[in-house]
Amino acid sequence: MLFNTWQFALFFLAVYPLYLIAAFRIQTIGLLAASWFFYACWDWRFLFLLLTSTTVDYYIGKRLAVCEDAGQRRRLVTVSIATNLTFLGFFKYYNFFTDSAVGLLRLMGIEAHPWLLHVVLPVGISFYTFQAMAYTIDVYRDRSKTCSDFVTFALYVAYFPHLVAGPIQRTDDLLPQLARPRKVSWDQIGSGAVLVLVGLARKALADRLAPYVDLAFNAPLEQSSLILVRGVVAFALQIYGDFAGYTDIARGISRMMGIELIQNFRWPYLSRNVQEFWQRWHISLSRWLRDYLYIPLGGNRGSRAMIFRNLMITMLLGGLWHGASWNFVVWGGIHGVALVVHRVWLYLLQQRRAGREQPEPPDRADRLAFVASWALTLAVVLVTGVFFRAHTFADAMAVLSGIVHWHGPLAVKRLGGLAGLLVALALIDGPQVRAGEHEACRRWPWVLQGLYYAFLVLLIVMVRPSSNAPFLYFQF
Amino acid sequence: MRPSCISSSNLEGRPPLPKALLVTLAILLAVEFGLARQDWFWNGYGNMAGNAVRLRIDAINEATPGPAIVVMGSSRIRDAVLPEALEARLRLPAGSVYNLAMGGGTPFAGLTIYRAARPKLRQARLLVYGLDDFDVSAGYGVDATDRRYATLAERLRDYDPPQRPSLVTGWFYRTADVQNLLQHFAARLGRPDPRMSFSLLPGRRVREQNDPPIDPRSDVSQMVGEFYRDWAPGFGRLRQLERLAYLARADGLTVMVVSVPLYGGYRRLANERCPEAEPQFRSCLQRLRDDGLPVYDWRDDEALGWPITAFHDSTHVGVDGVPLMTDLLVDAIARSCPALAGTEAAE
Repeated sequence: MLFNTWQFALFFLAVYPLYLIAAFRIQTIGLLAASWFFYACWDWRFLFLLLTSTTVDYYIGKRLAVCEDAGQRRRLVTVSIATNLTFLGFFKYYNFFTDSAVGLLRLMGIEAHPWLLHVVLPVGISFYTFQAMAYTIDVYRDRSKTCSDFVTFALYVAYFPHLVAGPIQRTDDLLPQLARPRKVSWDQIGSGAVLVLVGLARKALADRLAPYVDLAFNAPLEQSSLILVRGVVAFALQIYGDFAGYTDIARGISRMMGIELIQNFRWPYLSRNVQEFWQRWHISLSRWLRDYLYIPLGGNRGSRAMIFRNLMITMLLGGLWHGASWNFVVWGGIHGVALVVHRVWLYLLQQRRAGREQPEPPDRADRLAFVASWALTLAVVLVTGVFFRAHTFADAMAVLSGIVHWHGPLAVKRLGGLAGLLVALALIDGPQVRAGEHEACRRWPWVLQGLYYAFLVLLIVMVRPSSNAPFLYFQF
Repeated sequence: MRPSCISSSNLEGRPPLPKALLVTLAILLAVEFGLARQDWFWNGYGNMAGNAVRLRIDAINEATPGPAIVVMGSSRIRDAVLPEALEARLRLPAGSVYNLAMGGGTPFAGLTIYRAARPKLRQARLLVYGLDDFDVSAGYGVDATDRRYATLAERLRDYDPPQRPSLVTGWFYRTADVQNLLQHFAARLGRPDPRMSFSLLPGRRVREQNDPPIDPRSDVSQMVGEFYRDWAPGFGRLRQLERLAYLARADGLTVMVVSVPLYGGYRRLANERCPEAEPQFRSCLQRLRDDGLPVYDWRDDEALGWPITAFHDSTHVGVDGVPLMTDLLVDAIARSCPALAGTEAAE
């Protein structure tokens, strides 16, 4: 049940009025039932997986609340992490690791016949296992209180707006909102609906970009350099429109129910370095990786070499989180290297500025550096995006090689469609970027607001493809 | 007493007057009634199938003499049939073969034309319909003709299930139906498309004038990608063809279904990428045969012994292929509509 389908609209129209009139306890139980139904619509068999993960983490959380022995607490949290990672590892990575091991053995001249399974990836498993793990780790660290109500905890894991593709919430952010009676204001309904509208417009634009991307990546050897460049740029816009659009819809729906989810994107393509990019792109995942992986590894403590190691491990595992493919590892690895290079650059800058007493006012060179750093960051993101999107490593290299070894006609006319969609995306985001906040349009004069909403509706009508494509991040 | 599971205090405050929403609604209604439901908008910005049907209906109503043979279908049969050649071979009066096929033409386009110009078209003896591989795919989608002319009943009944929701939505909210026109409108900043024209007068062939031929081997991948990307078995177009055949046969016409030759490389790649498509196409042809229609499947160019030079591109017959196609048609007409081929057969 995709957010941009009639099925979901009917589902929400059935759930929402009941939600608004139900008393708190009924509201929570109803929301949980709706969330489980929503998940079962994808594949009811995986509901048992979700229930198992929820039950294990709930009881471990309860045990942690009463257990004071440090060793036992550590064992409990290890059981939680191991359970979640086992599920994730088996369903997401079993075939990947088996195939990789077979390949490695073959390189060594050993023919292996492993037990291969056609494991189907349960939708949203990467998101809800991280969400559930965050809870037990936070309770273990005494950063969050134990949830004593199973229904509330199950809702925390399965809450349908963020179940299948996040944003991954911090325990302190979501659990208290679910545990206390919720009020919904008309303002929340209005701004939630606007977010949904913006999200649908972004998603429609992303789907419209898909043919450019598919053409370039499905048979890269057959395409001219211009088509490949167009495909790479289109993919960057597509994945942003798709995932940011999904997040907008999720946040909008949730806000209409009086529950706030965190912002996941802050115009990442305006970043001037890779570190800033990760503070603007998939913020909830970046934050999770920082809190539960990078910092436990040592974070910014220790020698520079240790910091660089921590960065690389975090980004490599972050890449692997996206999918069971070496392409994602390469993607994460390049981002890791870029982050390390950025750190080195910062150290060098610090050393250079160390002797100066006062910072100099920005001059023309600084402004040029500003533009250059933005362009360089964008180039890194675009190049890494090739590994993210390509089916195989060879395909990714074919795309990059096809661009480097320029060939084919320079038919700029073929960029017209992409340019039009880019303008449309800029019209959605531009006013908000200017104001520096996502829902700036809500403060505009009502006539302007009305025009903007009409523009969004007409844009959706104009660019929507004939069939609804699934959100790209659902596969992760 | 209110039951305890109901709470009236979940919603805070009173609803404000949604002024911005009213502005939005006003604009959307203006687009719906000022553009989407206006004929001038369809005519001015519809440089596509929806307009091509209208132009053909106008041309039929103006044409003399009345038709002896009517040809319908997509650009594949449009390019393959040269009316003058067929008229000469069958000794028919000049202008009596109406080639009404058009780019992207579907059975529904044919049905729409037939219904609108029925008094004239019922004078014909033979209707030749060119059935294409994409006609039996639910994934090929609906076009401007469907959106402009299909009634609510047809939208609910005569299309494949995945196509129905969008078509039904479009019937109620016409703005959704004019998606492509709105794109044209925006891309051309409100300037109308160049005026289209269509004539049934002899001597006019679209393809050679506008489009130089290309090596059929070079566009195989692109064409297969276009027609088979979202392939899914579909029977909607077949139902429309059956309805067209029913109307024409009720008027006394012989209805003949043909499949135009395709370049071998195209067929092989299509079979490779989408092996389930060929059995589906064959089963559809069989269904038409079972309905009593004469069906001629000429897609296999190698079995026909056609050279590569007979093709304009991988899916269209070129200038050199037209005489070959005329031979095939004349032979088929002799078998399926002997009265019409009487003169030629006597020779």
